[in-house]
Amino acid sequence: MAVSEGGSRDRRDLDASVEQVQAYLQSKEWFQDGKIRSVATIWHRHHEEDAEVVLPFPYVKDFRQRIRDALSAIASFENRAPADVLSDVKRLFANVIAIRVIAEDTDGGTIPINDGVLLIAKAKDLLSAAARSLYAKRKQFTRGAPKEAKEYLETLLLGQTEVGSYVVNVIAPVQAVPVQRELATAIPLAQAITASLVAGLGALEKASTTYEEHGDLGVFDEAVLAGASSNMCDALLGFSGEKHNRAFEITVTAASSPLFETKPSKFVFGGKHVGVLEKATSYYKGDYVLPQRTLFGHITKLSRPRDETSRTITIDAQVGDVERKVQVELSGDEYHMAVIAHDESKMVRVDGDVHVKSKSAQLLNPSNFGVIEPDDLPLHGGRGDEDL
Amino acid sequence: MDPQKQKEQFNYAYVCALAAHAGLNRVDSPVDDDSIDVAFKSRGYHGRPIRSPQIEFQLKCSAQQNLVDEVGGVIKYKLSRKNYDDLRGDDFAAPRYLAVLLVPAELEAWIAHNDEHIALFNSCYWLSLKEAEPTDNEESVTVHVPLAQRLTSAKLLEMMDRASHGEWL
Repeated sequence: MAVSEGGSRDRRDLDASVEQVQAYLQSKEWFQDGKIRSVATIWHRHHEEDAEVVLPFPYVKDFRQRIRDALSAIASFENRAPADVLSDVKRLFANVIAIRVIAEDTDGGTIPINDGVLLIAKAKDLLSAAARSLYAKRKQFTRGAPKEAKEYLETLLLGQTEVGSYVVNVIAPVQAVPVQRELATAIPLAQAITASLVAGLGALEKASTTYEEHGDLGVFDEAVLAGASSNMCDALLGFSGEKHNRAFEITVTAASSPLFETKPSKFVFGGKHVGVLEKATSYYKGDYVLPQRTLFGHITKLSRPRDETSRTITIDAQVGDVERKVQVELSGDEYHMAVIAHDESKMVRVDGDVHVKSKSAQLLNPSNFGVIEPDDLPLHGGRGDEDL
Repeated sequence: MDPQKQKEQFNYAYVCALAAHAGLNRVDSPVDDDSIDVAFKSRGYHGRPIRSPQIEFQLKCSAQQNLVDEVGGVIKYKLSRKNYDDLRGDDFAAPRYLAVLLVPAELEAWIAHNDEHIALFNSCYWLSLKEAEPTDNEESVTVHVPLAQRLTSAKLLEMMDRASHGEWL
């Protein structure tokens, strides 16, 4: 009677696997209460006689329909839609990264389209940053992720968006790791990447708080060891929208695993954190300002272009742990002092905010320029300023 | 209505009437199998392996009068190879059957309205292909549906009873 459309038993697009449904049933206190020959298992609940799920084995001919019946039976028992059950069944085997954007204009569950697009693109970037830091700890990643990580990133799924401010769910499926004797402690790549994400976000959150207290960008160096990077910061900044004006929070819920913390981890980035993230990413990229520093050093270059009023000197000075050539613009009198100091190979000093870039450094708001006489040399050799 | 469609609908209504009489629930979820036309479920088989068993049917309706072999006591019905394979064997989690309804050639004769009852013509017969052998036929396989296997509401209940053990009638 029915019209044949062919391919009805094509199992590629099956919604859930037996293992997934079985794990779900076990997690919800169903127990296996028998078998139908070698075609299905029967699941019941204590004290609830009418609750029954028949779970087919994968090779039976009516598998597709029976697995859907199983989801329907669970849905009926839980008094909700089968699609909702399916969603939970899948999440049991996946890490879920929920990004909630909090702003007045996202209260109704909508978001301006450009920010929505940015949000989703950056969600993938966030996972990519976490994946790359798994292989190497760097302030900035300029190359793509390694092949395995890239392949894994392609398996990420975007869940349904949720109302309640604006929430995007990224579902990161966890593949089972084949049991190998020599790799007894192997964990799936998905779990390792998620762990790296949690570590990186945690370190950034901590570093941001410390930075707010002490104003020292050096705290972000430590976060790199935990997996933070400019790429991670940029992804996070994307969540705050094109104008970087929205607060957001990220909740990472990991799939059940004996080797992995299953309690959800939540990271909150308020408005002030967004500003700190901007500084952190610049710092990681080697473009940042160290405020109120005093530099000591020898002049290596004097520059006074014809027909221009600016007079610039370059000082070899210790900035943090690195000796940098810092350009300083001086007034006429100061420049004259600098020329003499240079002639006499004397050191100079100057206060200001050091703007460090990847290949150069410049002193902003220079003041108190002076020549150091041999008697004035600081005890530590006149080469550095305070620690970063 | 297309005559073939008309037969299908009549067959469906016929079997559903039997199931309703037997107190079985028709499964409302869309059956995602093109060899299954209707499925029924029942509850309350406590103490059995399956408390809420299910049975499924492929329905075939024909007005051809030459399908009946009175001597052999069977209906010789030509099933497509696909239907045959989809019904054959026991590797199903829910038992499935073929139900063949023979209707009179004249449409007017399908239903008789009487003062106190209506009658549906003719009878529907069932067949299990659980033990059926694989075939080399490419297009179709002729199956023999015994005239002794009339599908009734009582028979549906027997099928359900067996299904609660994970078995066929």
